[in-house]
Amino acid sequence: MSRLPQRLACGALLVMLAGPSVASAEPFSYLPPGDLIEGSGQGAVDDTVFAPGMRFPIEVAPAYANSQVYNHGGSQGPGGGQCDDFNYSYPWRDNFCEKRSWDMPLCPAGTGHQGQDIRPATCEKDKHWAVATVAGTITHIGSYSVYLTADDGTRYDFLHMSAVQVNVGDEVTRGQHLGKVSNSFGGTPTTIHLHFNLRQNVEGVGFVYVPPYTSLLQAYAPLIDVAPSGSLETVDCDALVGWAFDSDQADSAIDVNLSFAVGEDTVTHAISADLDRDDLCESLGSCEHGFEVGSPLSLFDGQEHVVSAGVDYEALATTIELGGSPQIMQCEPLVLSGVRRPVDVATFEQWSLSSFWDEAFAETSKVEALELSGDWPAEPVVVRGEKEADGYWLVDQGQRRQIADAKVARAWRLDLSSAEQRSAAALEALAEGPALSARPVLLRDSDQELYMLDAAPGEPATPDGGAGGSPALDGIPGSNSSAGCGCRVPRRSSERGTPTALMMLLLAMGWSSARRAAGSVCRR
Amino acid sequence: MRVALALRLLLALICVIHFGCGPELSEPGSKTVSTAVPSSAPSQSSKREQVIAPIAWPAPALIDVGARSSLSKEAREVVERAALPVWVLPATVALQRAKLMAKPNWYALSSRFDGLAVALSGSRLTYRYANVAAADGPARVRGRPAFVGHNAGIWSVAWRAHGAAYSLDVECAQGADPRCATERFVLELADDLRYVGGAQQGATP
Repeated sequence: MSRLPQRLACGALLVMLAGPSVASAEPFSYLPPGDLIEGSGQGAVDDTVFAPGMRFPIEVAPAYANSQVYNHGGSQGPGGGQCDDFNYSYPWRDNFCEKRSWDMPLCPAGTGHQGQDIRPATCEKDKHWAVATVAGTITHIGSYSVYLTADDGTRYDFLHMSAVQVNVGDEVTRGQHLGKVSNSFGGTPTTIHLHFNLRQNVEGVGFVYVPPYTSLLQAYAPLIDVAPSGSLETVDCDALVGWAFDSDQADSAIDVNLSFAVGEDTVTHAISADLDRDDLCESLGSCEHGFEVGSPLSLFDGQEHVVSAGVDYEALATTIELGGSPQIMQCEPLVLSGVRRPVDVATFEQWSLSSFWDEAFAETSKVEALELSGDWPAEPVVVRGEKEADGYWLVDQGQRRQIADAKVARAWRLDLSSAEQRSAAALEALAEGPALSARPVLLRDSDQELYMLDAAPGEPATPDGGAGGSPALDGIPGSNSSAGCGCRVPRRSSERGTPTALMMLLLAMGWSSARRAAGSVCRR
Repeated sequence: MRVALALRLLLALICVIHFGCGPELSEPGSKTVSTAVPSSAPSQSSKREQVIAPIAWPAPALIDVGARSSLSKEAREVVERAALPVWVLPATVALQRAKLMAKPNWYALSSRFDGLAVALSGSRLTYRYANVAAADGPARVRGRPAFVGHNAGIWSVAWRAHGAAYSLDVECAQGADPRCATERFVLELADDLRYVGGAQQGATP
C-alpha cells in the first residue's frame, strides 16, 4: 500500500476521532474516485477537483453518495427496497461513468452515467433541501431539473427535485434552498435521490459532464467536521489578501499555501493567516485570521501568473482551496526611480529578505541609471521613544526613519517588540530621514548585483506610511498610488469571498452544533 | 454500544500512534463488504486552468432577422451583451417563452413549451485540464462533431463552434413522449438553431 492511501485511511480515522460524528452515529468513509460497484462499469480514476470550493448540494449531513441503479431498489440492484439501510450508510461510492450507452468523453469507456447519485439523510421524499452549490444564476428549470450556472461557466445540475423554490433567471446565493430532494422523473418516479451533475466547457472536448465525486467529497467535509475555510479576496500588484480559519484551532493561526504558476512550474509559499482583522471577529469568534502579503516582485514581468490559495485539511488528507481562488496576477516591471543602495549576501540574510517576494529583476542599464547611494544597513536597528506616540523608527546611517505602522513593519519583517527604547533627546539627536517605504524593493540587475531601491536623500518624510519614503511611487507595490501603476489583474473567480464564505462557515458550524444536539438519525 | 465505540477509538489511537494508520485498520467506518481503501486524495485545482477562448464571430449576414425579431426586447438586450455568438430555438412559440441570460463568458436559454423543457448553454470560458485529452464526439450537429447523451431521461447534445462550446438539452415532461424516445429530436433541434448575433455585432440589424 502506498503512503497516500495510508494517509487517507488515517484521515478517516481522524474524522472519527474528532468527536461524535456530526453527521450520524457512523463515521464518514468513502471509496476512491472511479471505484464503481463491480459489474457496473469502469469509473474515472481521477482525483481532480473540478469544482473546488463548492458547497455540498444537500443542506445537511448525512447524505449518501451511491448508485441508485446498482443498489437495493435499483433496476440492476441486488433486490430489496430503496430504503434498505445499506443505501443509507457509508462509505460513499462513485457512480460517475456507471454503465450507460451514451457518449461521455471523460469516461474510460467513452459512455456512462453523467453525474453522481446522492441519497439524502432519510428515505423520505420532499423533505430534504437541495441547495445552491455556488452563487450563480438559475439558467433552467425543467419538469424535474434545475440548472445553476456560476459566473465561471460551470453548470450544476440538480435532478429529480420537487417543491422548486426558484425561477429561471434568479440570482441565488450559495446555500440557498432550490427545492426538495424527491423522485420526480417525467411522470414515472425514480428512487428518492438527487442526481447531481457538473458540466464545464473543457478545452478540446466541449461543454461536457465532468466527474463530480471529488468535488462532493471536498464539499461534504464541512458538513461532518467543520473544515478549514477562507477566502483569497484580493490579488493585485500591491498585495495578496484574504483570510483562513480552522474551527478546530479557532484560537490559532493556520498557514495558507499560496501557489504561483511560473512558466511550467508551480512555486508554493506558506504564509500565516494571523493578521488581526476587525471584520472577522464577530463572524469567526476571533480576529487574527487574516493574511496579507506584498505581491511577489519576482513575478513583475508583465506575464500572467495564476495564483491559488489553499489550506491543508488533515481529516481528508487534502488541500481545501479557498474561495476566490485561483486568480490571475499580471504586473508590469517596476518603474524605477530613487536611489540604489548595495545589498550584500549577509545583509540580505540579516534582513530576512526573500528573492521571491522582495526581488525584482531590472536591466543593468536601468539600474545604473539610478543614483548610487550608501550601502543598505547591515542589519535592522529599530528604536522607539518613551511614549507610544513617539512611534517606531529604523536607524539608517545616523538618520531615523519612521516605521509608519505594523503593516510596514511586517512587510520589512521587523520585530517591533524588540525595539530598543530611546529617550526623546536621543531620538531628536538623529536627523529625520524619509519614512521607511511600504515594503522592501530589491533590484537584481543583469550582472546579478543586488540593490535596495530607496528614497533619495533629503526627500521629505511622509509620516502616513503608505507612500512615505517610496522611491518611485508609480512603480512600488504598497504605495497606494494609482498613477501609472502598470498593473492589470483580471479576476478569474467571481467569488469575492468574505461575507458569503463567512456566512457559510457559520452555517456549517451551526449545523454541526445542531447535529450534535440532535444525536443519531432516524431512518424509515 | 459504548464498549464497541471505545474499542474502535482505542484501535484507532493505536493505529495512529504506533502503526501510522496502516491498511489493516483502514476502514473503521465501513460497514460494507468492500475492502478497498481510498487510493488517492482529492487534489486542489492546480491541475486546471481557465482560458477565455477567442471568438470567431459568424458573418453578420448570417443573423436570422426573423428569429431575432421574435425575441422580446429584454432577450434582444441579452443578445447584445453576450460575449459569444447566440443561437436560439427556431420555433416562434418556443422563442417567445424563452428566457435568455448572459454573463461575461456565457449565455443560456431556457424555454418550456408543448411538454418540453429545452436548455441551451454556450460558454467561451474554457477549462484546461492536464489529464483530459482532446476528443471529438462521434455524432454530428451543425456540421461539427458532437457528443450525444441520454441520462436521467434528458437528451443532451454538445458541440464546439466559433471558439465557444454549446450544449442543448431536451427534457420531456412525460417520459413516454415520442420526442424523447430517441436522439433524433434533439439532433434536429440543434441543427435548426438560429443565429441572432452577440455583443460584437451589436444591435444590428
